[in-house]
Amino acid sequence: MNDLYTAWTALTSGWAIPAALGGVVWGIFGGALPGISPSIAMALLLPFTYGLDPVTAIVLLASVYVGAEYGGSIPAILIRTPGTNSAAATVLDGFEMNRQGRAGEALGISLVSGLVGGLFGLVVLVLFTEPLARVALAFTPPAYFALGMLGLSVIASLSAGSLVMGLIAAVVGLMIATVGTDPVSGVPRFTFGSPDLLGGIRPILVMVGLFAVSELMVQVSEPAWARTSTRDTRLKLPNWATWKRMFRPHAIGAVIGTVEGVTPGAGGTIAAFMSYNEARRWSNHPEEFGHGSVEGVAAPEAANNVVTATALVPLLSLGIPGSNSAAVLLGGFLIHGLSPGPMLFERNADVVYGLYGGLLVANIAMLLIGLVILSPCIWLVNRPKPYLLAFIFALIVSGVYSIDQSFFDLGLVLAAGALGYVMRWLGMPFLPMVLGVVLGNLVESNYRRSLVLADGDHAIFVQDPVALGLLAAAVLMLVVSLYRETRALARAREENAAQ
Amino acid sequence: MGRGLVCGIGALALSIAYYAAATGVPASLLSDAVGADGLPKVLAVALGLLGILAAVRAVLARSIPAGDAPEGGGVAAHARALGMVALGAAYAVLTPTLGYVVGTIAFLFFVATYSGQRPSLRLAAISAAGGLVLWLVFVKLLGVAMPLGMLAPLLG
Repeated sequence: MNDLYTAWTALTSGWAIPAALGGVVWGIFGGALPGISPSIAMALLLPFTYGLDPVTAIVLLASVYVGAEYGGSIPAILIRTPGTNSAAATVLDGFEMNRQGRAGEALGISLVSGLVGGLFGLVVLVLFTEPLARVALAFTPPAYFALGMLGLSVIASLSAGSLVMGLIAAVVGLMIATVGTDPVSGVPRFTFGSPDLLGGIRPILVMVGLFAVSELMVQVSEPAWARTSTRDTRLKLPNWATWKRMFRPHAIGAVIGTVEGVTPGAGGTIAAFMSYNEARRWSNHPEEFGHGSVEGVAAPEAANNVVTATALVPLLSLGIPGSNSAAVLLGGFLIHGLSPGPMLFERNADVVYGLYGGLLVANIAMLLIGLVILSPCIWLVNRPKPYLLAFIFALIVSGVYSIDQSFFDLGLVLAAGALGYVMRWLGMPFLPMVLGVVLGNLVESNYRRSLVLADGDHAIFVQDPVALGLLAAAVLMLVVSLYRETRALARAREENAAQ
Repeated sequence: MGRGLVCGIGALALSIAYYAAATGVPASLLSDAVGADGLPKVLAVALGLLGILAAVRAVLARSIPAGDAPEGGGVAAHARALGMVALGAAYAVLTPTLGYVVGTIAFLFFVATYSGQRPSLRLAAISAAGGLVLWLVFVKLLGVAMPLGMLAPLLG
């Protein structure tokens, strides 16, 4: 009760509530623009927090994070462009629902799933910060390697019925991830003398190219009669039947988002992909995934919004920023002379409880703002196709350029778009490649660091209990996926033979 | 040639080229036992094997699901799709000279025209308004340093 009073006082004594509202608006706006990541949206506001009181400043930055992680799903559903890395998994079924004229329904599911995820994450953050902080500390390089392998193990079930094609896509994704400076020795790899490639290829560039540019290419090459328009022009919140269907994917997203969130460096992208995969595995309608599944939108959206709160666990309890966004938030703490860590709860309880209260306001604000802005967004994407394609393309090129002020990045996006177009022609799935690009560096760098620590002895991966558990889970997931894949293929052949 | 065979041969060719590039990765005194070229070589071999598998499967006429790219348009449709990439490339080349505002207005106009909109004064006005809105969002609101180009004396 006393803690609630502290939170209420901290929230109402300054400008924290307006800051939460404004932060969510700014975050949704930034997250919806391709190229403006949550951390960039937060960093842009960092200088303005100097003049604010600590609670207002921290609430503002955290609210931007909440808004931006949600905002990324809006272009993912409406224009097949993930605004953030973690929205990539939403593209698959969200955009498919849009194509079927169910954009309002998809946006409604993503909005309420984001709210459910955000509120669940907040409860976890408030009640379990201390015990979960121990999980973060248990993560060593072998455990990170195993976590990456667990992420890669979902490739088999993301391969959309063609395992060989999925594996080829995943290996090419891992190859893209090797471009740049070697994570251990620091030598350049596959940069061909170009300084632009020394920092590697950002996953968001590959995602925007694969999903958005290839879609523009397909749209422009279609004859006019083949173009469909969204019939559903208003936001549609889920009815009771849909809520019942979303319960399981929400639960899956909540569990995976919690584990991934408290693990520094794991982030919302892995959580979203794994939740998507598990939601399909546990669904009563797995055949709907990839064809506009309600659960295919609910699970990743819930998971990446859980992460917005649980990613703060290692930051608040240990002072470890587990992501770029958490690092910017750490900057906000430091600007105001606050040091996140165990003593923060003793010395600056008002800031911590004010942050909790601010996150609650931010999540509610996300729902309210979503209710206001989403119908106009659907109206916007129902404009005549030529105008729409031109504005989407202009938004993409502007957003991509703004990441590093580099036209080289734009060239990479266009190349990824052409690759995506060829992959679509070949019937090759995108998601395994995206996973390869996202997880490649995590897997390689931690594999090699582990071997350096163990003098080249691979036994380190089974001696570390966390790594062993994660690797066992990865093997189990792979075996189950392969079994299901083989069974489905055999069934399809039997059906073909019977016809 | 079937799509599976194209994919298999393409993967095999990429694996050979990537392996060749991996052998050129410089060694470092700071390197570990795996080395900077360790994973790339493993990936190249894996891709090569998968490419062979895909090609063999295609030759044995096992069906591979078709993608959702247009089927009927053939070469003309693919060329039209590539035209979109060419427009993006032209934007990347010309915008440093034209500047963000002029480059984006022209880009909006030409992409809309290429996508089937008839050139008109209305299209020109919408492109100009769109370019200005994007300039306001990215330059004024987000503070991104977009190229000024030929408008540098005015905006700089």
